[in-house]
Amino acid sequence: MATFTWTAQLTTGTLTIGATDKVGFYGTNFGDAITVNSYQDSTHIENSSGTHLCTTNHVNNTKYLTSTTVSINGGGSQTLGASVPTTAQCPLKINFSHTSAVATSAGKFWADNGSDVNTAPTDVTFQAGEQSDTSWTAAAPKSAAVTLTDQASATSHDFYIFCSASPTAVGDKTAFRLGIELTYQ
Amino acid sequence: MEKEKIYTIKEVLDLVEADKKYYKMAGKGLVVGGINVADLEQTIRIPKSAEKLVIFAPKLETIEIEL
Repeated sequence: MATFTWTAQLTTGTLTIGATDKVGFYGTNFGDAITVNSYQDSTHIENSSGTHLCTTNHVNNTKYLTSTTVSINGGGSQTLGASVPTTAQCPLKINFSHTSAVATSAGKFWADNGSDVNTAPTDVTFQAGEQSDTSWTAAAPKSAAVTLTDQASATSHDFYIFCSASPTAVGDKTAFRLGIELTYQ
Repeated sequence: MEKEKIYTIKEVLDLVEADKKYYKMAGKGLVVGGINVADLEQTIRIPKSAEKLVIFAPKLETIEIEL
């Protein structure tokens, strides 16, 4: 059987992201607004009611600076590369497991508006990449997805994702969903 | 071979010291770790849970590398 498990990688420890939980992009702290056309300064996990779940250690924050640079957890600008961010610094680890060993290919990670994979999130610019990518991808909608590296045959596959979001208008942005798909054989 | 690292197919073949015949099979049925290989610059990540890497090419001996 094939199973996806989404995990938030916190500054210390990890937190499994449940099916109805949400990834929240905020200003300095949970609940803080992000200035329009700026990117988030913190990333959090909340449940479907908006209750903050990563209250002690927050999710690693990867903030888009330029198409090839990132600020990790408020640090200075770093050029994206083989170890920037490291796998442990990526905010999301998405695991694909299968009862028998399989190879994965044609993997994609993207954001959409929550109902249609072909429509970008409403009033949000979304940037993402897979660990070791050397540039950000404006990964919305699905047609502009991050391409995930093929993985050799195994029973468990981890995909480490860094991501960043910026509002293009004021107000809460909830027409916003993250997605992954791949082929396995 | 280091796990959770990205390699080009050429790097994989170099690391396992494959015969030059395998390099020429890219796009002609070469399969590395279950991935069909179209060209030698194609990249592949070795998952943490991978136990072996199998390199298959038509009419050539299958290579199995314990990881």
